[in-house]
Amino acid sequence: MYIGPLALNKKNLPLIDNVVINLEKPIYHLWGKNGVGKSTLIKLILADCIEKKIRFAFMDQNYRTSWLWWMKIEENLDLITGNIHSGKKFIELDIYNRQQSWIKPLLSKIVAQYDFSKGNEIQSAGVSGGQLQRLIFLRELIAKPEIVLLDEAFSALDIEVVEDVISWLLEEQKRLDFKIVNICHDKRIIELMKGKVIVLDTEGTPKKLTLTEMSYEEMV
Amino acid sequence: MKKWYSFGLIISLFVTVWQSFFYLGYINKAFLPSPLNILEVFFNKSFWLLFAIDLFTTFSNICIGVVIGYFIVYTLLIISFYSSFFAYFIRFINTILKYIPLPALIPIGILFFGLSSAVNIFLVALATFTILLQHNFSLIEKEEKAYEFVRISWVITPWQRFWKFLFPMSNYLGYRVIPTLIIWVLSIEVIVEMILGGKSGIGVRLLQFQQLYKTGELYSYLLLIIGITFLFELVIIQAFSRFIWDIKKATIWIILITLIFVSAGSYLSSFSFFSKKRVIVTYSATANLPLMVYIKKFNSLNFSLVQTGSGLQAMDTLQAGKADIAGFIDMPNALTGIEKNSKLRMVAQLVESPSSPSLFLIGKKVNSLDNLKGLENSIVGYYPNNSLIKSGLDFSLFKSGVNTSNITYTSSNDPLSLVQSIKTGFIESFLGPEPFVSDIENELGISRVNKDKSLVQGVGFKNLPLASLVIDTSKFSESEKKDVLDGINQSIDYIRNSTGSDGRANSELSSILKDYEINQKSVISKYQNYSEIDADETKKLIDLINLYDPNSALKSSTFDVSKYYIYP
Repeated sequence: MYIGPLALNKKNLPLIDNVVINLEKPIYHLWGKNGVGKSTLIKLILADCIEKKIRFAFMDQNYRTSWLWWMKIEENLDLITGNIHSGKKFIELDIYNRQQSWIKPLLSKIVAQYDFSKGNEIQSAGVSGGQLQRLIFLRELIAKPEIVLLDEAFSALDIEVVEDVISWLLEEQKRLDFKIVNICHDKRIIELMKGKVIVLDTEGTPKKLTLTEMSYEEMV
Repeated sequence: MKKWYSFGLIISLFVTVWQSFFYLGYINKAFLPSPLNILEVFFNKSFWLLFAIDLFTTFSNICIGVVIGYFIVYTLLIISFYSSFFAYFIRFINTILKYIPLPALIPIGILFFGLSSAVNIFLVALATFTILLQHNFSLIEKEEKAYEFVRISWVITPWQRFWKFLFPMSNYLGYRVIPTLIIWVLSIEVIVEMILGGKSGIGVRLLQFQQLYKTGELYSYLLLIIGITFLFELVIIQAFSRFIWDIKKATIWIILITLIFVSAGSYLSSFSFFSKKRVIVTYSATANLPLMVYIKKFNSLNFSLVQTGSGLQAMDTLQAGKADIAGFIDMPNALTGIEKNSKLRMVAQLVESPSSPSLFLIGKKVNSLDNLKGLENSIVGYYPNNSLIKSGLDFSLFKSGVNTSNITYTSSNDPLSLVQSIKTGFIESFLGPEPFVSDIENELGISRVNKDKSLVQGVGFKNLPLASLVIDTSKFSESEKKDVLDGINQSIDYIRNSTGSDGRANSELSSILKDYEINQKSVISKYQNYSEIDADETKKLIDLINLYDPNSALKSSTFDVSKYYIYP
């Protein structure tokens, strides 16, 4: 899968000049120091997906706010299932059969509710952080993405929970065959997920973004 | 618990100090009643009936307006999700509405809908529309933006975007705008009621209480409004939070509450004294003695009396077909109204004659016709607020050699506000009719300048028409018209027979005056029935008005004066 050419010429940001990324492997991590342009690059990848009509899923560290908190979990999942799988219900999908053990008890629940006493604040209601993240992955996977873009999506969770979620995600990746592009600052996550690393750096004046593909071992 | 205890203590302390100040005479009842006065009002059953009627009238309009505004906002937002051009258009409308003070649109409402409750509903709907539109745009730009990529990857349709994303989010987060919405729609409704007048409504009543100096009732209403608005806000926010997961229930509840208010409003209006009786609309009872007598003694057609905020408003109400008779309207307004609506006719007049003054000058710096120069460099308030009465004064002053350009004139639709202004010292003198002049005399201990001498002598009138009783002829059959005319004639005769040589009421008439809380020391004005009216005097008056107030532009030359009267 080819992404690009990507280009950006904005003040205070490194110049991105016709960058093309060839995603041959299933997993890529974007690695680089703060401010180098990782998030900018992933947004450009996202825009490219929209333009080329590549089905994508995007998740950043604020992924919780993208949950439709006013609906029951089942309604949430049914909404996307109906759209993508021509009117089907979530429980009619194969993925439901595979994940029944943990998803079934959650279906009639709500993920969060508004706390009126605290004003503009969403309170978690009976669903843990790990469950919610897995739910959101599940929701995105229903949309049959060709590429999953993650921008520090695991940063709010404990590493034990992350391990659990990642192993689950990788299992689903084998079945559904999608690419993952992940931004992270934690080498443990790269270790868990394996895959290739794209190191981002800048050179020249004005600063120009450079991408170097390597293995995790090489990077270390 | 401690919080409530402290709150109760502060309130008790405040009320005690208030009552003590009142008891010690530091507070004037005309401005602020005592807590006991307010308590007394709360024990009055008829007050509660009146309040219930007003509350339901006001809230019926509010509920209908809010529901209309609510549906329009969401219909337009749905369309805007389908068409980006329309979305830009809505944003443009939103920008415009954001910068217009809503009360400034009241005249537009009146232009479009006339003097009907449709104006109230239109403006409440507009207020709801504006506030909800801003609320939704703020959501679209902030919270709903978090779903931007989700919408794309899920292939969300414009309808789903509305029904599954924006609409529920907007309702659940409605608590952010509910307090603003409630206070705005209530404000708009009350302001419009005050401007349009009518039979009932919180705004109508508040203005009436002010004009009749019923301060106990006025403050009781304000206290009740605070309580009800607070509770209303609480209930709605609670309702939204309880039905947070069920939009259908919330919608059903909104419609149900609206229906309750609308039906209760119409039910209360129908069984009260505001039933579908014929209506006589007047400005304060004080200037309309023949009408008061008519209602009490000769009311064969079962009229009910409805008071409005001003003579102009009473005339507008009659023109809009919401009343059958209006009186006594000051002449310029009566004449202009009849020119606009050929079905209206005058049937009786209040006049000033050289031997029977109706207009009086009273002031702190003048006490006789000889020292009128005292008016120079001072502020003179006059009522009614048209050039007629001012020109009458000018004519008298010219004769006394007063430089009128050194006088600052001010006028108002509401004579009581002028009376209050002279008491508080904002104006130095007042020119107007009874019983307002007597009020000032009694309160300030000063005498009127022209006790026995008419101020309009200089104008050369036999009888100067000041105000008139106007009837909508289309509302009556020939025999009913005769009934009304006979009744008004009998009322005028009754007043004449019940008035002593000093121009004051005898005991029987006094009891009627007392019923309407009219100052019993007032000198009774001179009234003419239709057989006594001299149309030539009216023609002269029209010329006088056109001379001194060209803006009135009455059609003296093209409009047959006799057409102003029911029987020329």
